[in-house]
Amino acid sequence: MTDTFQTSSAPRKASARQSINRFYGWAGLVVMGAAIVHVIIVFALPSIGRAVLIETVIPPDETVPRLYTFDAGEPLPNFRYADARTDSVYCSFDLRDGAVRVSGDVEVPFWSISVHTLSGLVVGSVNHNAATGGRLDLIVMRPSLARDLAEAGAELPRDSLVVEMDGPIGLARVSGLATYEALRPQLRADLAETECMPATFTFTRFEDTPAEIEEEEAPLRRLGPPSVPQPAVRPNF
Amino acid sequence: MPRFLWIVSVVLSAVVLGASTAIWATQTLRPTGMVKVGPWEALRAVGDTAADPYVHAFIASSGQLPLGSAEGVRFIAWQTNSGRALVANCSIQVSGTVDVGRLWTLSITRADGTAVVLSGTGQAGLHSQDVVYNADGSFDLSIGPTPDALNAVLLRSPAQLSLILSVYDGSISNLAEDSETALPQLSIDRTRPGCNA
Repeated sequence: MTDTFQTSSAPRKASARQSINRFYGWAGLVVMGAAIVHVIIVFALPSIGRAVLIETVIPPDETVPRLYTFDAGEPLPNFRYADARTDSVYCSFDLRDGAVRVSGDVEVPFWSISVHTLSGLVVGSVNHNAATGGRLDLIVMRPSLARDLAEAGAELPRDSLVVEMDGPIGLARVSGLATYEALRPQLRADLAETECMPATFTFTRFEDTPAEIEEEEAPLRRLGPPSVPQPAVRPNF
Repeated sequence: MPRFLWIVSVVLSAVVLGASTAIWATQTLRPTGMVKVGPWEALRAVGDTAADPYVHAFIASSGQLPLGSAEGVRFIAWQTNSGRALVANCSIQVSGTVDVGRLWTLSITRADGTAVVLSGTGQAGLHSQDVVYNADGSFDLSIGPTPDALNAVLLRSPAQLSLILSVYDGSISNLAEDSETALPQLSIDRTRPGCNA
């Protein structure tokens, strides 16, 4: 009897220990898997959360900078908890096509430009106090392009503020607050005339070789490294 | 077969646990850098480089397009100073001062964040030069079905609202979280029917 009891209880104890070990293994794998899923979702949320923004404000196949106008109080399903008293225009852009220039001249007590990533975060912002001659001028570009432009000796427009942004797709918002109703028609007209276009640069050479001096008389040619979008030469600002 | 079920249970449990904690962390928890002054909440740092992944996720999932530091600060209130829901039929009282900036706007939004356009004016809120101030520089504003204060926004709605206070040309860099008088106090009239729950 005693022998029978001992032989039958030993496997039962081992089985209980195995079950506990198996549970700990199961729980450990669940926690590790949950941590991975948690991190994936947290990092993916900015893209998922802005899917609507891409489709309606920035269409998927839209690559050229484009201006969208919204009047104060107009329902904006994509921008929740917005200030309903300011009038705004939005400039969507894709920096894979080069830098984008946003500039405007608005005459109200307060106006500003802010640059946002796809997830909505602010990369840079300026208000009317930084305006030169009443005009705010912002150039948004990727850091790699900024480096290439510097190496190529590009001259940025003198009164432009440069905002560097990693993410290629973004949004610039130009907002103005009309403190009197009488100011609103002009504010809306000014905002509608906001510029939102690919930025262009002029290039200078670091050294003048005899061959280059000869070229002074020749028509202007496009310069710059291959990675820089070939610029149209414009008068320097 | 038991091994297959064991693997499926591990995967399913991990997905459910991971997804629920991610949603809880990004929607229920407030991200780092959140400033709370009374019932008003604002994100202090929303810069691209400074923000951690949870701030990215919070902003993206909340659908906001925040103000930049050169623009100002946007405060959002979902409840009164005593923790009551903001319901227009309960006559929301907004009183005090806005000490953190010279220009401000106050917008009224529904629970989903969309603006409430006021039928009388066609506007979706008011700004600092719309209100009449008291001698000490403070103001009193009521949002509800009857004009209960010097400044009144007539609105009849049983739904829960939120208030957006956008302060321009201002800064909260020196604003302490306990300085509740820097922003208006929010309350409701609890004597109104259905407002004492």
